[in-house]
Amino acid sequence: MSIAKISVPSQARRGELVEIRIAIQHPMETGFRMDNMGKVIPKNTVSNLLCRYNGADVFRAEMGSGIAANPYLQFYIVAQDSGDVAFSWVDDRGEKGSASSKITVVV
Amino acid sequence: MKTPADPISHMNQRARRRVLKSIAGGALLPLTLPAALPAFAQMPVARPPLEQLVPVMKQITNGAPVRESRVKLEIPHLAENGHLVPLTVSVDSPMTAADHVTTLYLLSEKNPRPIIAKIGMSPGTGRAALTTRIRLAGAQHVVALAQMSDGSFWAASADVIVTETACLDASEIT
Repeated sequence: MSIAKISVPSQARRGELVEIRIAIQHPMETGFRMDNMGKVIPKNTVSNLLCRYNGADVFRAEMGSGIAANPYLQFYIVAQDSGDVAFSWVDDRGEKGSASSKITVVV
Repeated sequence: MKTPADPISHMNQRARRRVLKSIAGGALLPLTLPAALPAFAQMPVARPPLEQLVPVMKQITNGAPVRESRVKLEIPHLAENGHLVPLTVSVDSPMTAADHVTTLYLLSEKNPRPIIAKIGMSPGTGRAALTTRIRLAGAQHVVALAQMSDGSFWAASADVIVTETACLDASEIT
């Protein structure tokens, strides 16, 4: 289970654009590096990340070795109803992670 | 796509030789120099940038035309560290159910894996914008390619100079 920091505003007005940020602690191993024994370290990146807002998919990212270590993403969603902004991701080794935060929508 | 600022450095080798030969021939007889000038006029257009990316983009677009102008790619022109290059892409789109960005591709010309990331968006995304940090193996063009809900493709490219490259390719490790 990897660690992530997410930033979701706790309150927003209905229809407002809110900025979402996520940074996952992950080496994003490229698969081109070698360890000190000269053995290739297998590629391991957060290949799939999904952001769901109140159960609906709003944002998805497939990331490869071209994304820097500790992947950081910043994007927007439209505040509709109070609820959860939930992230889930999986890396090439099958390790899963998740994080979520509540957003309260005031009219 | 943007043409390189210095077309001569991108001129292909054969054309360069042809031009050089015509100059060399004319140099002996200054009177024939004007004859060599049309050779410059016929100089082939500079190497299209992103030549390496054409097959990748074709695979994504399935041969559909790619237009410019709706995508904006912000990336430093000079990146000190190729391991971590900040990048912001935004697409001019209302992001409504009828008209929104469905997929956004970040492509690299020189990285061993040309597709840096594939981002899925929806009307719930509200604004077609993304900020992230990428790795770049050397100075190159970076392309942002957006697919709209109507199936059209829009792209923008930026030229980045990388001083300390990210060792992405095993061939670079000596």
